[in-house]
Amino acid sequence: MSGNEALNRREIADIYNTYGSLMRRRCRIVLKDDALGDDAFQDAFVNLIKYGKNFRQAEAKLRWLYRLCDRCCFALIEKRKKGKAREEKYIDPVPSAPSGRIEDRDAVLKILSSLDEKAKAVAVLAYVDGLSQGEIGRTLGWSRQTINKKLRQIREAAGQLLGAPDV
Amino acid sequence: MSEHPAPYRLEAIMVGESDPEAEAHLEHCAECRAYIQGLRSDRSAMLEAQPVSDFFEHPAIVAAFEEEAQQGVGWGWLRWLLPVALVGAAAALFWVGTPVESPHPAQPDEILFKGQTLTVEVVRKRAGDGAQSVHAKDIPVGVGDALRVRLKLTARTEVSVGLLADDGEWLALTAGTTLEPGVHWVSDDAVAIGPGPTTGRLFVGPPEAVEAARRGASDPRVHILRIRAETTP
Repeated sequence: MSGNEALNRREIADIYNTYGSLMRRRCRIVLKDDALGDDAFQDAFVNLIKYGKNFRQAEAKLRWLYRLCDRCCFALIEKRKKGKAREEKYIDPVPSAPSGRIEDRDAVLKILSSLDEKAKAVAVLAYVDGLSQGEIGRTLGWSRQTINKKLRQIREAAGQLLGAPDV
Repeated sequence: MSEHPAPYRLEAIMVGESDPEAEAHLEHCAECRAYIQGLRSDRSAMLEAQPVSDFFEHPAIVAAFEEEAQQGVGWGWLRWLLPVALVGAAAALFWVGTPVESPHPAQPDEILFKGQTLTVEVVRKRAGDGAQSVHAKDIPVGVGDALRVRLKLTARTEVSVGLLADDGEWLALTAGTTLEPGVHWVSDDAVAIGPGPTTGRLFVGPPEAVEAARRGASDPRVHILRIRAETTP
């Protein structure tokens, strides 16, 4: 199979079987809503089918798929901003990661829709994935200065909801 | 920063990505192992509740596959052929780039719909000696053979052409294309395909009738040609 061709059904099925649950969980967490998260998850696969050929060359495949999910979530957040506010309807069935600070994560996700696109991306990597500034910079290809600026912006937006910064 | 690896690193380990430092941590950290176990349970629950076959039935996913297949008409068959299962000899198919005439053409099949006439022929070119033949119903193929679909119309007609593999996979070669009276080749692209198992049916007819026929409905307006592996060399 040429790397220039779209992913075939078997490749898409492998991605679903291997990464699908993580992708769906991420969408549900970021959007804090099962139904909306499932919509984003489905959008991610639609994009994967149409434009996902670069997945084959991705070194960090989960990271690549998470970025795709994040973009689909952010698109739905923008759509949701124009519609009626929804009650949050998501309870993660997976126990929290030991290093995760769930309160901070939820606080940042609450104000996610108020952030610009760059800040949204940084917020998810920092507070959902728990990445360090250096890791975020490498993932997004942005300077440490930009990451710092965006983290300050996120903390200001979240205000008192956040604990002491550790990223 | 916590002594535990970041959630992302544990999730990456769950899907088999290498992280020696985090893996070493896991050996003595029951909490992180429990997190990974929770992720695995979530995956099992999702795949049990919605296996990939069900997920692929969702209208948005079906539409994405069909749209993508239409983008790749010509090359699309390559993608379709690779996963198809076949009992018996393997076959390799490709669209040939130039029109061919058979020394002994078979009688092409004719179907009528809406007062119009559509003739469907498949031209097969042999891999070894290049011998060509025209088929209207049953198309035996061997490794390296080439196929090309030819349509003859007596009136302006909207036509869909698609391939249904025996494992249920569908590839739309043209979807709802309006063709003028005359002779049309489904694709002018030359697509070479390596040896691979192949079997399926070619559907040609009005778009809505083809759509129904490939899902099992019987419709006299749809022309169906069987592509099968040769049983004798």
